[in-house]
Amino acid sequence: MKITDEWVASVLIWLISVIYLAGFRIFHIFPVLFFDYRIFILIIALGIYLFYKKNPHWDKAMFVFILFYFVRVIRFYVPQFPLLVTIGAIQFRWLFLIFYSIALFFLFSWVEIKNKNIFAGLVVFFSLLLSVLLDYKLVIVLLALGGYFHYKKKPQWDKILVVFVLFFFIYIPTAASFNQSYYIASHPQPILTPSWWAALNWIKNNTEPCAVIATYWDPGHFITAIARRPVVYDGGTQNALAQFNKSSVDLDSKAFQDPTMFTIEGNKIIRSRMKDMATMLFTDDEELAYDILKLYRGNCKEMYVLASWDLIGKSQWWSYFATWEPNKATGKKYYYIPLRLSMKKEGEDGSVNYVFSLGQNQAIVINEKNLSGQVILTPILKQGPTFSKISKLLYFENGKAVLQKYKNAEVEGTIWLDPSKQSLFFIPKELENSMFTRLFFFHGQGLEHFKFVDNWGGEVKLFRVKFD
Amino acid sequence: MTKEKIKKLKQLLGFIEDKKLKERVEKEAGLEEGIEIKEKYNPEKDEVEIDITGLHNFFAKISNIVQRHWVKLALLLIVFLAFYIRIFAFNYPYLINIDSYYFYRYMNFIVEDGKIPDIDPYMLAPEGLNTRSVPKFYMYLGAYSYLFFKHFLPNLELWRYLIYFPAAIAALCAIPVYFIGKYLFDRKAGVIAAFFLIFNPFNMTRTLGGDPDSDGIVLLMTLVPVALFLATQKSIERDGLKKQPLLLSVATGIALALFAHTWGGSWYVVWLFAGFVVLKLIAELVIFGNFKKTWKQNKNNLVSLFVIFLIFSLLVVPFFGISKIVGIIESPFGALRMKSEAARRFPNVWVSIAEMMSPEGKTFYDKINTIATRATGMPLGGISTIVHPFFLAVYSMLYFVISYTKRKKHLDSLIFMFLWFIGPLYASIVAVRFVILLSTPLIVLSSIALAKLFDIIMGKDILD
Repeated sequence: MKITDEWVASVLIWLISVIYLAGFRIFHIFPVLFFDYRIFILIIALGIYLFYKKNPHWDKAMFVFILFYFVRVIRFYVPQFPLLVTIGAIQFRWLFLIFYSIALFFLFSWVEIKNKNIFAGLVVFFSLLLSVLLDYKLVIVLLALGGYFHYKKKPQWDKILVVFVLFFFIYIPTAASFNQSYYIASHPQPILTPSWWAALNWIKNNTEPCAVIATYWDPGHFITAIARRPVVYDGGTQNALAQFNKSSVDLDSKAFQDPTMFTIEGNKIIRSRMKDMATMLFTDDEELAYDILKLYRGNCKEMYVLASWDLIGKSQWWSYFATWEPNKATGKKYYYIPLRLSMKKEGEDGSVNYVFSLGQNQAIVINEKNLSGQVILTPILKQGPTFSKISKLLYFENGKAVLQKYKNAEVEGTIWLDPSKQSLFFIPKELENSMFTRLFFFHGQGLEHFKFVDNWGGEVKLFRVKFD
Repeated sequence: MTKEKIKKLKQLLGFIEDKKLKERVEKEAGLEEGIEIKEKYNPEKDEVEIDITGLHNFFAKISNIVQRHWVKLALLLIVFLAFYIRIFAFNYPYLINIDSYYFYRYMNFIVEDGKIPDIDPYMLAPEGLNTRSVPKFYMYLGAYSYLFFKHFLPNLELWRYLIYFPAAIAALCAIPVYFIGKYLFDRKAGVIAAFFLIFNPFNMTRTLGGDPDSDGIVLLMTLVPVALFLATQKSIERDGLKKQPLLLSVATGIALALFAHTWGGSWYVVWLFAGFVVLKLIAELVIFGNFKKTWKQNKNNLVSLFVIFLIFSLLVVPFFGISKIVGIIESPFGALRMKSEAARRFPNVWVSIAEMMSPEGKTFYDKINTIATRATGMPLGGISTIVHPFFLAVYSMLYFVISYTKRKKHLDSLIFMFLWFIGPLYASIVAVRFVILLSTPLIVLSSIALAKLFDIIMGKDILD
């Protein structure tokens, strides 16, 4: 076996690294070592040093290597020590960089003085400057260059170029891939939220095991697995059809009045689960929603409907599927428009205007006036210089919801203003009486067949279907 | 050892600056006792080669192990890191994704009742779902591996086990993709491919701990038959159709069948294999212009393909029926019509699913950019575009073309990667969800480009 200095050094470095790491919480250090592309720069620097220095100074090489480890480890732990993030008004990071650069300066000066190498001195100077201005990663690159010029009397420019090209080719895709992957892995984003978790567990513990939970397909797998209740459809069966025996259904019910909602094949009636659930959410006819749900109830005496926050954004799709016509092969999309408060402005007449921007020169303004102790709110759509009144506003007063209607309003639709007046929803006229709006925004008020059961974090709302 | 030699060695030892090490080397070399040591001095290289025991011997052993087993060590490290990075930040009292719960529930059926019921009472209320056509391999794998570990850890809950299980599945992908890179180019390409695949952001998103959706197993079960198929091809090329290639063909057929028992979209690998053999036959017929010679060259590949499909059919048809085979034939055409709304009685849900949308962008380049960004986590544009994995993949394809044109090398790699790259690329333009099929060939090709670049820098022939 041929033992070269390079091999001895490599093994030593790795041994020391592992021993060093093992002394700490090894798993906490690993990301620092392997998921930061700057480590590759360090390895390249070390490689250049080993390659061109015939008799390397192992003590110095290891000192530098360990120094870098410390740098990374400290950098990793800094966010976990809030006191160290800033010292006075100065960010700890900048102080750290300054001290670090000074340390490097001494290290290099020692080499430079010993060898009287002007180039190395310049490298140190620029390292200092750049480390303060930018980040220390450039220092490492410059150190690598400095090391190369320091030990190589006649630099081979072709090799330098090749190393840079290789570095460029490997560094960019690797860094892009690593940084994102590490970020993704360190910030897993659960789709299941605490509100859903609580709601599903409530259903599991408080409803009949046979009770079907009707809603859009997305949370289907959550419901079947966590609540352990049957669903109409889910993420694996979005396009599935439902079959019913002709004799088992009431063909006079509203569920069979629209011929686009079913087909008859012999003794079977075929329906689209998607079309049924979308219609149940979209329709303004409670009886139609109720008749559709009855088809999926089975023999259970209980059935529930879930109206959840995510369905607001999905309204374009459930309205599309509900209005989908086979002869046109398309449907109509309707959207709830969520807006956040852009500014609050005092009017000349003492009123307050809550402005919710819709884009350039467009906004919904809620004008608040106080007339003899009575607060009067007026929703207005502003389009450039034109102001048009919106027909309905739902707001909260002393914890109670108030629906205000405005005569001679130019714009049809409803504004749902949240109690803090920080956000609102504009509900277009096509959706303002939909079952989803009435369930989610109005808690089923005025509905005969749907009884509000509970609300989890304003995100999930459960309704029991009241059968005759 | 002559006195002169000892003197020379002592002079050389002067290079060792560490006093203690120097003393130890002298002692262990037996210079004081005058014991003969094996030493060689190479004046040209100005190096000492010493065969001694003790510290250096220890280093020698380690460096020897590293030199001989660097691939295994690299893979081990990659697998470990891949597993670790996927679980270290998980901190929730439940699984994180919707589809994860589908697999959890079916695994739970197996754990609690020993099997998946014929009718799933929770899906498609009120009648329930007939589970006959549900691919179940992954569920059984998860459930049985859980029961295995539960044997040692009795308090282990299924949901908690499923934090680690998908991470382990994803980590294991490093092994087959290494072999794919190795068979198509060399070991370096294999290791780079393993590295890139494991840390690809697109794959990372879909294979995190606590998310036992099927993406990880689909990736693994795609890579295993592909690696086995390429091993079969290499073996045929080397030995003809003997025992080993036949066994590998059988193994490929089994792996392919297991894939069909895992995922409904597995048909594309069947097409990939068939396409490769047929396209190679056609290409060589055009190149040679001689049917007899072409037949002789490709006969073994066709027999191997037949064996693969035979084993595949024997393991698939009894479970899913002959319709599964018919479905595989029809699937490429059906997949492209997935979003069609015309001539339907009821609406098509696929139009609403984000992953079934066409990639964003007005122009063809914009669409490619969307695909490339999703597949690699790196957008096209700017100077870095020239090192974008998408372009690295293109360079690899160009290299294969030139290498074949000039040296008659890498025809197999060219055809295989062409099919594996172009097919999913076209599918990704139709719907972005197919990027998941594109990311692996993209990674393999870009790894080949980097391995080749490394070879060029190390002075190897550019076309070799």
